[in-house]
Amino acid sequence: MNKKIQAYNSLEMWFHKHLIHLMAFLIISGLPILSKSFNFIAYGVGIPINWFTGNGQTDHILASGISFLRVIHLSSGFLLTIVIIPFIFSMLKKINTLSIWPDKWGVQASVDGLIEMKKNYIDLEHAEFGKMNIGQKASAWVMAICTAALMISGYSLLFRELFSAETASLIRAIHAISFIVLAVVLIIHIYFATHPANKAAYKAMFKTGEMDEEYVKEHHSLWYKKLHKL
Amino acid sequence: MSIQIKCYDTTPCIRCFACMINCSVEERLRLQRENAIGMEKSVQHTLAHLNHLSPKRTEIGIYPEARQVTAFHHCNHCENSPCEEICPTGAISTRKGGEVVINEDICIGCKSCGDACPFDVPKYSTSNEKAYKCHGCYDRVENGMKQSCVEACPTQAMFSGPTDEVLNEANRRAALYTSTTGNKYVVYGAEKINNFVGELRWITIVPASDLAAYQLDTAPNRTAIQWRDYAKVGGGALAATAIIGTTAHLIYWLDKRKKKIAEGEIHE
Amino acid sequence: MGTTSRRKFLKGSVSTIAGVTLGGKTVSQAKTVTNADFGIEKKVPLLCRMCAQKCPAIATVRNGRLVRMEANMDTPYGGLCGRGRAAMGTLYDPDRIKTPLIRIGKRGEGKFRQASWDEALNMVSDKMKSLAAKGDQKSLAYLPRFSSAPLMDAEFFKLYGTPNKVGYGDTCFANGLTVGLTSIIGGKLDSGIPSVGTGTLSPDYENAKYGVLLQRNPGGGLVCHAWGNMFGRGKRNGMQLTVVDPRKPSEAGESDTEWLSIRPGTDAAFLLGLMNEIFKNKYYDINYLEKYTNVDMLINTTTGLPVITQNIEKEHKGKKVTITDYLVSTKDGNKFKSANQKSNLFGKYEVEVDGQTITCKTALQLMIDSCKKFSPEWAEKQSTVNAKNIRECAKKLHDAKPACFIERGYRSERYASSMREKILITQINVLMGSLGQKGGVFYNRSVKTGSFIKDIPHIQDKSVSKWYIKNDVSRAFMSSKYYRRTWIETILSEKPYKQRMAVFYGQNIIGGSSGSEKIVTALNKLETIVCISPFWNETTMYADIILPDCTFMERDEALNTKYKTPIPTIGVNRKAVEPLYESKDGYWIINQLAKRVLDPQLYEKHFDAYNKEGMMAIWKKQYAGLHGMSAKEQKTLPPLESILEGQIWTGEQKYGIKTKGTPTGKIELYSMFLAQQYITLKNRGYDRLEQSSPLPVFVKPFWIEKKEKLSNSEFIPITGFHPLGSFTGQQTKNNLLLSTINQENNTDAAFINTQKGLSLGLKSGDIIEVFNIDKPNLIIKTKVILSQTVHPDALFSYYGMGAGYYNSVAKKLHNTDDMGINPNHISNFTFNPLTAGQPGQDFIISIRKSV
Repeated sequence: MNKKIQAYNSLEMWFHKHLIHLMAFLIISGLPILSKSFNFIAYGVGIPINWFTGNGQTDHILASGISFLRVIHLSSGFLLTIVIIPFIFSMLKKINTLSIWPDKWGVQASVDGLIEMKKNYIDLEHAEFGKMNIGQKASAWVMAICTAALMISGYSLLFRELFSAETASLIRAIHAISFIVLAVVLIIHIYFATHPANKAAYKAMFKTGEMDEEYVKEHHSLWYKKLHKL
Repeated sequence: MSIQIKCYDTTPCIRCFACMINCSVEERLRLQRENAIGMEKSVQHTLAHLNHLSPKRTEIGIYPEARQVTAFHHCNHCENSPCEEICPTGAISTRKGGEVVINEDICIGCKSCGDACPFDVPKYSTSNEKAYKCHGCYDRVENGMKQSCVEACPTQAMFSGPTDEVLNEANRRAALYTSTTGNKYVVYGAEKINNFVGELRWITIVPASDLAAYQLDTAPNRTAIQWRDYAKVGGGALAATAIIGTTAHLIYWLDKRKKKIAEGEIHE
Repeated sequence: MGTTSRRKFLKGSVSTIAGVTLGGKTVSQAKTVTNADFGIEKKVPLLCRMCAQKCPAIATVRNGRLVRMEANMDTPYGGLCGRGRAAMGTLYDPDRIKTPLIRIGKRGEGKFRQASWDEALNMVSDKMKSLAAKGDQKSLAYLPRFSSAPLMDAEFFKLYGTPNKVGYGDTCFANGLTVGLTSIIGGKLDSGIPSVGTGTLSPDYENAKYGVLLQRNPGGGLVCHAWGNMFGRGKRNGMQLTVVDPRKPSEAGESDTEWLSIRPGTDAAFLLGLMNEIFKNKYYDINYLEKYTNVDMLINTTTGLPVITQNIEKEHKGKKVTITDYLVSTKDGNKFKSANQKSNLFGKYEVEVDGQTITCKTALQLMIDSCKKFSPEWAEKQSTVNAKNIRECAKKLHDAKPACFIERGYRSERYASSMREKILITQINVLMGSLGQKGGVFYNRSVKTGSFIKDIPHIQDKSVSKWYIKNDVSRAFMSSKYYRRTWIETILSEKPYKQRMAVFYGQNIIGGSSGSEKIVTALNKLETIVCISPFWNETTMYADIILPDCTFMERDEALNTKYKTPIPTIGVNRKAVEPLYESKDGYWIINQLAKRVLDPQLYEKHFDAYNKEGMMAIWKKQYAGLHGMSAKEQKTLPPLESILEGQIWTGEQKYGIKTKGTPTGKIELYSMFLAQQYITLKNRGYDRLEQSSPLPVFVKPFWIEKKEKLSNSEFIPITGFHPLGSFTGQQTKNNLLLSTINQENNTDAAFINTQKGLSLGLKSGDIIEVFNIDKPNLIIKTKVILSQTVHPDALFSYYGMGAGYYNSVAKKLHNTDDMGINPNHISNFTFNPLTAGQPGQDFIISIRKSV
């Protein structure tokens, strides 16, 4: 048996799993309110609802769908809050050792990081990565910030009577814009997560939480060195 | 039916509020007509969503050069109604007479319209969990009656009708007041205000110097809503780029990997 | 099919819940509505009684409910204000008086028990009969205001035998205003006192180019039919206004409406400054004065009377009338006016009378000379209105004349100087030549209907008022009809005789007249108090028996011709819905009392027709007896049935000068009545003689007599009408439709000048305590609002909106606050000199922050 390294603990795996499906619910239920281009989602929900309730008026389908999706959106948002609380605490506990912090600071370090990424994904050569490469670190930050913005603005919109209409509409814009940024990053995140090259990490996140030491030594050399204080 | 517009003239208005009372009475009549609640019961309850007009009073100047100004808060029935644009369920529509209306059956109370409106008009009622605002008495107008506020005005400070007719009268009055007072009077909303709202179907005769006092916004806008629109377009483009980019990379990566395996640089 | 029925069920259940909780679903805003949705409606003609003015209205009744009130547009001045449009809020007010009530607690406490109509009516009639048995009918006073039985109520009390029908005009529109107007323009004499109807003159807002608004705010005291309507037309026609008021009224206009802030009660000073400027610059219309007025009359400068007069007979509309002919100066020497020679309007002359040489001036010269001391600068000192603005105002009047006016004012009984202000207003309107002219101030026209109950036996006893006019020199100009506060004096002094019983018909004497504390003491002296009213008010709290009559929406009424319109008008109020609860219409109540009280033969004679034919008996007699219209107008009268179906008959407007009624048959810019009374009063030893001067004089209000300068926490309470509050009755007090908008306008608050408020450490929204400095124990609590649009000496409140000191009635009303000002409650029980009107706001109050 190969020696294993713990990549993710069970809490992190549990959180990530729920984060995925709650995000999915939030996105699907939020899109038709963001843009009429996604009305098909609301129709998809609204048609069966109206069939069940016997509402024969076609102009009510969209409203039925969206009001159902709103319930989903609000309850998913609430569940996400519940799920995110233990995660935040556990992260805060080891805030100093989190791999989202840059290994080195400065412009040169960033350029070096990007060069390493190019080596890995463009040249398919051996690259010197920590547990996370610079792209992962950056996207982690963007995702965390956008999620925080979405949650804060989302909750604020629930209590919009406390703000002026102008402010409420600003909060609403923040909610939309942070979602749009998040969505773009998520596409890239999902791509790399499901990329064949990252099978080991995928397996670690969703199944075992562990990676082969050998694999780590080869693909995340800096992390390996850190772990073994080399 | 052609577009019907309403005009409010600040000069003969005696601030008697008959318009506002009549509006809330007509709303109660509609409740009774819908078999929801009879007049004798509805008059015993204050229901915010049955009042679509309200006075906003401020004072300008310092004694004795001071005066009170009663701004008239109401839906302007914009040509490019931003509330209609943003409404996700299609509950807001423009009737054939130009009245921008909320269909309460379809409204889900998401408050989007309130965010989009630069005049801060649609409000949310906690008693029926819907948005409400002036609907221009479209039901009366489509049956040949005047709007209930217009009908109530004892001094014809409010009048309505087909666009040309109303504009002619409004411009005539503004010119008369300009000549009798020596102060320039304008008809607010008669011409397109900006792209966000377009023309207004509720116009106001007012001295140009008092536009701000009467809270008549010459550049009505909700910048946040515009950012949101830009972000939607930009976000769509970015998302498309991301999808195309990642797909391209996958193809490239698989191809390159195949080559590398063939060259023996890496192993399966 | 299945789906439809399920949907219907859902809708139905939601509607049921909505009916109970008002939550859930309400009207769909965007459902297509067809004509049928408007069509199944009953339309009923009404005369709106949400205030006192009876504007013609049309009620819409749907499914037995009153759902809409609109203006009856079958008149050139059709209009209905917000109060009328909210009438259903009053009709369906759950706090209405629902059954006859009999008092069980102390008076004022508000404890009553329900009673049957029989019991209550018997109680009233037993008391009336016991007074009659002693021959003491005069000890009952009938005090009507909102009577629901016109043409029967006052007549019944006359048949009963009391001379005391006590009007409320002395606390409102009469006395000072009527004497002030009539002493100049002439009119009917009542007990020797000039008294034109208060609706006689209207400013011609519609055609005026420029007007000075003071003592009234046509927007706030909104009478759509026709004043509000005409005011709006004037504004649309470009009428320019100067508002002279201690508070800037938004109702008069917000943009381009000049406001001159004036110290409360000093209108006379402003008007004198204006008159001085008019004389100085010869702004007056000399041709008008020469043609229509007595300015050429030679006046003995010592006595103030015309030097020589003679009575001559003149032809007037086919009748012979006696008028006073007077001496004038012509180029051929002194002649009588009747000689029709061109007379001198100015100058000083010597006249030989019985061998003596008497110095005389023309009336105009005398007025010019005596007005010299009242320069705009002098006026500024008194009134705080800038002299420059007074000059500009005079110039604007000159530029616009004759299409200009000085507002004649309304609810004018406010200060000791009230009558003098009216005299000055009328004189300036005459000087500008605007009286009777298009765009100026014109005479309203009206017709009269026939009466229903005729041949009422003569009553031997004299009314209380006539005794006072004769015996009390300080009330020499008092009205014999309007004397409710003097009647209070009678209860207290028992002069000329004792008062035992009062019947208030829709009249609220405690809330509506100043000096409420004295009024309450007096009412407590009465043996029996009966109130007929659908609504609770301060006075009903003191009633022994309350009879609830129904509101105007629930009854048929006699034809009405009493309108403040330029044109004669006939309209009628019809029943829109059946009386709610156990309320009854006024004719039923009066008829029941008459049946019980009157001698059976007398009753039979006067009420038989009504018992057989009902309202039709009254309408037919009224219509048959119509008079006061021209022959041409007579031809346009429709059948009675059309009027009863809601047609409003209107006649024609006529401009022109009426010179009937004054002693000289002229408009008396120099009033003969005042000049003669001046001598009479002097001989009787009266000490406020300047009140009766025919010349321009300055009369101070009581408060300035008492204190020339107020201390920082002192104010004069001023009031103004609110367009959504009835200034006269209780109809609007508990109406939720109105209070929703009223709350946004702080109608129950007191408004004081911002700078002064800040100096007192106050901010808007604070609760303050208000009290009369002479009665510090009567404290009213109110919210205060700081405003830049109030004079520093004034504390403004909307009239009749606040609960005041006697606020226990607020407990009976769910939509009424128990705070807010009513100046009447804490004012002094004093009387205006000569007219015995009420100096309703002529006292000093002090305020302090409530802790």
